[in-house]
Amino acid sequence: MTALLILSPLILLAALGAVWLARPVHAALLLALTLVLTAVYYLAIGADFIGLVQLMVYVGAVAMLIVFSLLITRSGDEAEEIARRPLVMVVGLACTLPVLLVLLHSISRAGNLPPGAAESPAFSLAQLGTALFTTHAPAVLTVAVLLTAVMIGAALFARGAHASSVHRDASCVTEFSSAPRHASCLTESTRKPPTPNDS
Amino acid sequence: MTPLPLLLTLSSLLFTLGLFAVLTRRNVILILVGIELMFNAANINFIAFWRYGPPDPDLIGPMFVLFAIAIAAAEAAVGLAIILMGFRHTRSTDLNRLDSLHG
Repeated sequence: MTALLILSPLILLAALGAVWLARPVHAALLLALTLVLTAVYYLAIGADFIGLVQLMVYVGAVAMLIVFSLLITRSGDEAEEIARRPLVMVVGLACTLPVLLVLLHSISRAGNLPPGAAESPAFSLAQLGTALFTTHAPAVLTVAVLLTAVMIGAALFARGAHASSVHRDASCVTEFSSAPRHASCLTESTRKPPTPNDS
Repeated sequence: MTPLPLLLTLSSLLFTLGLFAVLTRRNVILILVGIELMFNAANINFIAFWRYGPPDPDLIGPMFVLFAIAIAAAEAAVGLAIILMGFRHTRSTDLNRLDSLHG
């Protein structure tokens, strides 16, 4: 309980920063902080394995992937995030506040929740592994297939984009030399080629 | 006050913050940040009900969280690959400029 009381304001503050901060890298790092604090909370209430998985997969892989993508796609339009349009804010609040109110209302109405006396004890890894590979073995296999497909798909996306952009440039050149009909080819050919150090 | 309503309130607030980010951000990668926040809120709910809810000898809650984390990682990988592909086409991650999937 004390862990929750200490950690929940920190989690909320970090999440608020991740949502509100204008600079993308700061927002992504605050997302990582939110996930770390959540993992600390999991560790504190006895879900050790879940907390460690959260640390490794969420913080180590997903958050770092997001940070690296932000660094790769870094461009000059960081300032655009600062100039928030009030209309967008109003629409966003109008869409999210009802959701929050419904959630809080349903939580406050659920008065007959079982008391916290029967707190589940911390589970052992053997227990988790047994459940994972007997009861949930089909789901594990499905996730394995999903992860393989995702790996192949991401690699194909990364390679295919490069190949198609080269192909498109070649077709634009031939078309441009004969008759420049496509405006997209014009803009494509006049566009500044990406230099390694443009930031 | 028991911890369960407190945890549910925390996860509701986190979910709403993620939804707000998804609706208002303009950078596609920061929209992904909002989606991850929403995933995290759902995971907190699962853990809260496993820990403070009725007895759960089959470990349904932690199992759900494990699978949700795996699927969130897959979703982030594919999402970022698509975003990077779009970035190669338009040199931007601004949603207002990424209005066409056709190169």
